Amino acid sequence: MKRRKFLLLSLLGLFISLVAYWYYKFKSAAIGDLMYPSDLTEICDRETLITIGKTYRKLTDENNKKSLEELLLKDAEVHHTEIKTGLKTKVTEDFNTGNTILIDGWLLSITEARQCALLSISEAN
Amino acid sequence: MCPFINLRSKLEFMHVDARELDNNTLIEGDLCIVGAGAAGISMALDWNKSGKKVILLEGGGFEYDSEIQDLYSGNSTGQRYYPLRSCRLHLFGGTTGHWGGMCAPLDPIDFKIRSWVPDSGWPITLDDLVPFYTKAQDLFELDAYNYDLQYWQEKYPGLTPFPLDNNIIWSKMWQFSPPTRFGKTYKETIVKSANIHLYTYANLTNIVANSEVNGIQELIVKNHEGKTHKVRAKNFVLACGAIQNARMLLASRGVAKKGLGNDRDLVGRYFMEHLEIKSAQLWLKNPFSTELYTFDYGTRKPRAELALTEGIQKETGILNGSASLTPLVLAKQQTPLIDVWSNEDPRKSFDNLVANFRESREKNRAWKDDNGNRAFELFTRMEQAPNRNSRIMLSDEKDALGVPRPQLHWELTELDKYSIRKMYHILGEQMGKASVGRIKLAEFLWDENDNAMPDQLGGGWHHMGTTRMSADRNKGVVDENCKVHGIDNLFIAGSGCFSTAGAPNPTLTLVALSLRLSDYLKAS
Repeated sequence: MKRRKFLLLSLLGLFISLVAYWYYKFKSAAIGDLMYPSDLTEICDRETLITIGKTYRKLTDENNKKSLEELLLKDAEVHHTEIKTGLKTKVTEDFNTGNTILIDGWLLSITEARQCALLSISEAN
Repeated sequence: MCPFINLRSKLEFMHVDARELDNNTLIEGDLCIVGAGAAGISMALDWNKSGKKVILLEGGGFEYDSEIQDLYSGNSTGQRYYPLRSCRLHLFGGTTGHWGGMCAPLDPIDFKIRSWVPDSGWPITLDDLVPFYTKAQDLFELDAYNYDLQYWQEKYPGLTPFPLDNNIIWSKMWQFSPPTRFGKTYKETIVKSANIHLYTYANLTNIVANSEVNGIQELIVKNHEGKTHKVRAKNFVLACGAIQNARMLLASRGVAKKGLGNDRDLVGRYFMEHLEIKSAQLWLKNPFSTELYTFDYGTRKPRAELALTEGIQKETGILNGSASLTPLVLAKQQTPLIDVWSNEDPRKSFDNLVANFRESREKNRAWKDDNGNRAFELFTRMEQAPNRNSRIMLSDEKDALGVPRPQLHWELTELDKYSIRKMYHILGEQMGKASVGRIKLAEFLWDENDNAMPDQLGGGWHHMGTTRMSADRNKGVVDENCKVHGIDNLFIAGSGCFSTAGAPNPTLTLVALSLRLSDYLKAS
């Protein structure tokens, strides 16, 4: 009996560990997706993205990592279950609706500017 | 007598150097055209073999003459501008002697009254000019009068536009003249013509009106040899360029105290140039064949510029304009035109311009990347909003022949700067929406409250609007037929008649407009 209980508890522990590991991996990937605007990453180097992010934070006072993550996740989930695709759709929608901002001369979607802001905070940490 | 000598003397008779005439010679004809540049030569050619005696007056000769060129000197205030002495050429062929050959017609919207553009609207439409554009194409040795992208794609399948929203962005096509130098190309035809009488070194110094100021009696022409002659004709056409035409009307104050055609104080006002300046960078997400947009040096292959549709101009309240693409590696090496073209001698300024382009290409031989460039400079070409305070006036100083020198005050408005900034915001949004790339605006466009134009803004050496066209004599100097309001036999040819500037270089249009005037004079 004790042996069976031990095995069950071990399996439960393993399951919880796997779930935690999977969640951790997923979240890391998600946060990574949040920080890197897909189109802009093809155009600008990392340093430029960080500079854009810093300027955006100065212009908007959106300085909080958690609130930026929440804003971006909310935007992404509205559009798609996969964060990366969701954000890309949101960026297109931003350009379509004029939800843009001029940062250091770059005409950017607010969403991608927030992604740069998040990157710049992560870089600072 | 040898028939050859007879023929030769007859040919030479059609060209007369006015310095060699007896003083106070009276020259008479049916039509007198003043100025042998693009407008004047086009009109004269149109009258070739007409049986009418056409007098074509040119202030200079067949070759550059510094003393003659100096008659074009003047000062300018307001927005920085090129030296007035060197931004035009004063010889047979006029400024076609150094033009670049870029040709495109105006757009339909350019002729319309636009509520958001003060003093916009012509009394004619694009359709009125189309038959004459077709004729003008031949004079400039261009292809067919067809500026549709689809037409050119059939000839050049590689011409692919960016996948942008057609309701907002369209491809404004350009054709390239060799460029035709009118002085060289048409000299023989003019000189050999039986009815065109070319007088060189015949500088207009005064237009003499009758006492009622409703007709022109004669012109006074002079030269540096101290000779003065009179010219009489049924009709007179001023075709000396927008600055010089206004100058001569203002300077002819014998009977009309404010100058001819100027009883409404409009002559010289509404001077317009094109707003030409490096304005932004386009960074593509992926390499893209930009064959459609890239100027192919050494060929006459047409190209396109990114232009905004009529609908979006109306929606956003901006002027008409377009943006050309140059690979950034090349453009970075190029000095702004206003800094290059700073010499008072047009030949030296031209050499500086050519050297500027050549050096940038030689320093960056890799600019023509077969895989496509990913970074481009966007260069603005935009109409200037008509502005009454932007004007040609007379200076207190006189030239060597006693004519007051011109004084330019080039003044821009908030709408000009707003339109450039807005155009790049729209382009940026469209590039982003289509996931083509991103646009980075030049620093002078960052601050929305800054309405000043930087000193790097240049014009295209395009002078327009100083004798603007309007059916209402309270709003324009000439009517829809380019006749000076109130004066029965005085006409203006050229871009001075433009009511608004449009975005393209004016040469093709000013010739089309001159040919239309020619047609009108023949019919009347």
